[in-house]
Amino acid sequence: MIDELLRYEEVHYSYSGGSPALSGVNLGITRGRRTAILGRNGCGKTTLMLMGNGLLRPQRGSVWFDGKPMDYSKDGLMQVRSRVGFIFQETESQLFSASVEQDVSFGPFNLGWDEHRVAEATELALSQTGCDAFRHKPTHHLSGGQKKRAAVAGVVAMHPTIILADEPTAHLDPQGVDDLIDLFTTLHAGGMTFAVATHNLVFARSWFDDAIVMSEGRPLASGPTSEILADTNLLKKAGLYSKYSGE
Amino acid sequence: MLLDDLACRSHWRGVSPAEKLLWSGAFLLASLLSRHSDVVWMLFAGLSLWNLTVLGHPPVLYLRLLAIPALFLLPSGLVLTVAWGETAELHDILWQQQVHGSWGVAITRETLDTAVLLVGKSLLGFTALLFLTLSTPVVEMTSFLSRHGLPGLVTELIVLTYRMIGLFAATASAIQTAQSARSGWVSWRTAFRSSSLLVFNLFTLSIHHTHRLSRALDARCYQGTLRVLHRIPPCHTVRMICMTLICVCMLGWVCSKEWGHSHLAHSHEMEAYHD
Ligand SMILES: Nc1ncnc2c1ncn2[C@@H]1O[C@H](COP(=O)(O)OP(=O)(O)O)[C@@H](O)[C@H]1O
Ligand SMILES: [Mg+2]
Repeated sequence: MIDELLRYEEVHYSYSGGSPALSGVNLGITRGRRTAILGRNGCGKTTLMLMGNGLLRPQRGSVWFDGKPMDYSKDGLMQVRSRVGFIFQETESQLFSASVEQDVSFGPFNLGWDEHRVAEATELALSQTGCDAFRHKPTHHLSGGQKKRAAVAGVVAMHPTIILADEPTAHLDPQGVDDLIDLFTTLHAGGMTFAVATHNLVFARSWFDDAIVMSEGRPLASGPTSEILADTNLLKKAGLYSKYSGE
Repeated sequence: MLLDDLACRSHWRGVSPAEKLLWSGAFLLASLLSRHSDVVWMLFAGLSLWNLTVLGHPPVLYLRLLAIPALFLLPSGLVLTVAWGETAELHDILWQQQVHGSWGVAITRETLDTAVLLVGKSLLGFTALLFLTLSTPVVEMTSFLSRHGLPGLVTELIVLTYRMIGLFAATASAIQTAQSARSGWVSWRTAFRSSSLLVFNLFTLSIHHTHRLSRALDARCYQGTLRVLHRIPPCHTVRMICMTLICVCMLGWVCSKEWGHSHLAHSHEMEAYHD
């Protein structure tokens, strides 16, 4: 049996006054694997991911985490959010604190840990993510790549089971992308499950086990990355095919 | 933001905020207490020299920062030097101009002294605060204050405001660059239009930002209090003692000068009375 960490059942969602962002999503994210969520701008990737952390609640259908339907009470959300780390596309809004170290320590404090344990977790997360060198810097002095790493550190410090990352490679230079993928690889080797929204097919091809292709608020196909990305017709239909990509 | 950048790079970054607060507080107090322009200007020169040598910032930058209050102070200083009224009633007149009958404007020794003193006091106070801001990053100051009894709400507000200012500065410069690229700032008219658009954009962006920030905080289990680790440089006992001694001596000197002068003035008056 497939061990699904996250499960979406007939999920519908429309923003106020807008056309539906998600219309009937059924899919699962497998524990311990790396899943790419592919699709062009506006297809609903962000909306889908926000539901995985309980930040949005489906208007119809349900989201299941670790075999249980999501509980939207305060305690229930705490439970889920302590295990589901979310890396936002706009790093700017994720980093709120004056220095990197302070920002990273924010999540662990919210889990009710004592100062000693928070300091330990912060220390470990900073060194794991390579943020040691700029830990005392104000967050607005960091480069794009450093900000991303700091955001990852802030999530890693909470010891989540799964990381949801929304277009993490956007706005990063090639070196920054490589560094981030290396970091994800290390975390994955440590047992972390990943679900990553992206339209970077090179990244998708080289790194992910599974891929889900989204179009207009619902999944078109899902399966092993190698099979999904070999299907040119599917990619064309999802608006992911570029005649300039040289593939 | 520029100030905070400088603070992060200052040679005194690693010194405890307590020592720096003491230092700047002592000079601030001196500027309040002293009523002698020679004392004030001496302290001002001393502190400026100290700021320039100890903090290790480029002198040009430091002078430019000083120029900001100076620009505001000089006009008011000039206004203060001039007295209005019956010129016949003024003493020690250095320059005067009759306007109408016995009425006129004049510069007297007294008005000149007052102006020089007030400008000096303001500059000294500003330099004392400048020392603090140029050597202590906001992060350390808020950490220090929150550990020593400043309510959590206040520190959180300072931290969030500080973060918003950082974002604002970045966004404003990005928008401005984008506007300049499309020649939005070539003439006064377009500059005015561009700046109003910029302010409007900043406003909408800040609403967006607030919304996203609260979502991001929620994602990390925000419970209503922003608790974070604080790292404050420790106090260096010997240096602290030396600094306290210097401060006490300086304040003592300022006070004795105050007291000494008034005592002297008093005895002069007494002599005059006896004559
Ligand atoms: N806050 C919002 N308010 C209204 N409509 C939104 C909002 N966020 C997203 N949408 C709309 O929902 C759809 C899906 O958006 P999103 O999930 O952000 O897509 P993606 O992340 O794949 O680009 C889009 O049509 C978008 O315009
Ligand atoms: Mg998106």
